[in-house]
Amino acid sequence: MSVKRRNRGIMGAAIVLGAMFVALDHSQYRRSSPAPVAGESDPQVEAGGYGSASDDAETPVTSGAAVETGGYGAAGDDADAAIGAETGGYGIATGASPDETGQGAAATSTPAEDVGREMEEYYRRLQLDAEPDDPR
Amino acid sequence: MQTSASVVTPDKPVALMTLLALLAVSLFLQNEFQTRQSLLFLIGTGLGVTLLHAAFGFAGGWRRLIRERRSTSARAQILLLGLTSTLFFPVLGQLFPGINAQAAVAPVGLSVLIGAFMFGIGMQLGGGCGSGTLFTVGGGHVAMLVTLVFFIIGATVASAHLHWWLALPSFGKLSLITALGWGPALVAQGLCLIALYAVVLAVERQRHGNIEPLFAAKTADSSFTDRLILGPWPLLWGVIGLAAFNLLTLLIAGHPWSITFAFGLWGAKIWTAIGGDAASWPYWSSGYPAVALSRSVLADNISIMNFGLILGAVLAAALAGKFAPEDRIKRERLVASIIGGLLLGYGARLAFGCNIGALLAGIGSGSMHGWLWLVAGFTGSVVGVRLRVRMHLDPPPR
Repeated sequence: MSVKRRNRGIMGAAIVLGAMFVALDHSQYRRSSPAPVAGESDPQVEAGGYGSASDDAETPVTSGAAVETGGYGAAGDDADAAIGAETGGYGIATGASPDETGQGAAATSTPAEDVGREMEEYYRRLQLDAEPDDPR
Repeated sequence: MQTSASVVTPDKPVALMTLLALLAVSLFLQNEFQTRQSLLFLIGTGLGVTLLHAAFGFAGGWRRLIRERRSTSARAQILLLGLTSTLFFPVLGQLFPGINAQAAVAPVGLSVLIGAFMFGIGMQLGGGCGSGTLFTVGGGHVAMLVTLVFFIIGATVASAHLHWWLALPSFGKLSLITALGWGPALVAQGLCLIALYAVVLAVERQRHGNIEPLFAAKTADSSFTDRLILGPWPLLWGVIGLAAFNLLTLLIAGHPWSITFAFGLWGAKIWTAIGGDAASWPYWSSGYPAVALSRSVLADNISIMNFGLILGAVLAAALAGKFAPEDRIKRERLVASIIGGLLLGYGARLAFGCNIGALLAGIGSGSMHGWLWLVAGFTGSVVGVRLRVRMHLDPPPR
């Protein structure tokens, strides 16, 4: 076997192993996270999980932000607020997207209405796709 | 090295598979998370293509300056620092109030000094810095795969010890933008960078009596489109590409481009998966690290940008016909990769990042810890270059 062929094999194996790590990690995360219910308050957003922390049932999406990943959930009830989470991810409060300082970044400037549209689509998908015993 | 585009034979199967993988992953991220995650993945891909096509490495450039007194790469890095600062300072100085972006400002302390010094040694022994390790792994260099594995181990171990290192003396956070305002801060930093540029020019001229042109065309006989797709790129394209993608990262992610936080995260997740309890370590038990550890690795900005960077480098290497070159790994190289990788990982965690997350992002954010990182990292590289000779990785300098 030539050195080049061997090296390509090693690189291929490394990529497959890396992909397996990502897939396993992601599937574990999904199994352990319950599904959000539109309009309901879900304290898990504070831990970076699913759901909206909003207490305003009429604006669960805009104030709840991108809650499906736990990364972008907002703790506030201000529909105009930028995306943020109390501890989860990319928020204003304590969370934040990481830089190397470990301090995190402020919220992004994504308009709340864009997030709202994305969340409406997400909830619509959930209602369409989720089976009754769906672990999500 | 002169390379003619006429002899470039793209590795079409690898390029095609990589393109399909990029498409699949970006669609998955868009569907599973948000458009933003998908965009960050693609920005990472752009960074990988830029780094590989422009062969933009920090470790090799510093080594060439130390050993040969040639400053081409070092000058390109200084230009990158200047361009990044010019793009970042107005944003971070709130010139555009609608943009909410966080500067990479960290304490100026002993942990940075020691960590960057270790990183400087490690980048010479390991054969790559933070970005260099990722893009050369993407290029299919097996020895760098060893460096990356031990980089991850080093970062993970350091995260277990970090609370002790952070208790060492520190001057706290020192931000030029906060102290002077973004305009005067940019002028002051620009003057420092010009002075540094003049110093490396003088060093080269003193040794050689001439200066290597910074942006000489590597391929005179190929069209712009061929060069853009197949490479190689002049360093100027690398400078512009890296600064532009870094600005996009700042605007979309809300923080500058960084790399090594993800290595510690991957290591902590693997440690947890095999029965360890990384979540109980102080570093992983609060704040963003705790959140990142508790959720999917794909929800972490830096991780998905790193994945994009590796795949981007695979694509660029395949297009350039350079994927997985015939590297024979000697024992000395293997040992150096292991030691270097450990120093890289451990040092980066102590220093609040690598050459990207601490040096480029730090100086680009007007943080004095970035300048301390530069001094300590370069000093470590001087030691690392000497160690390379002792380990028979390089011949003695002339």
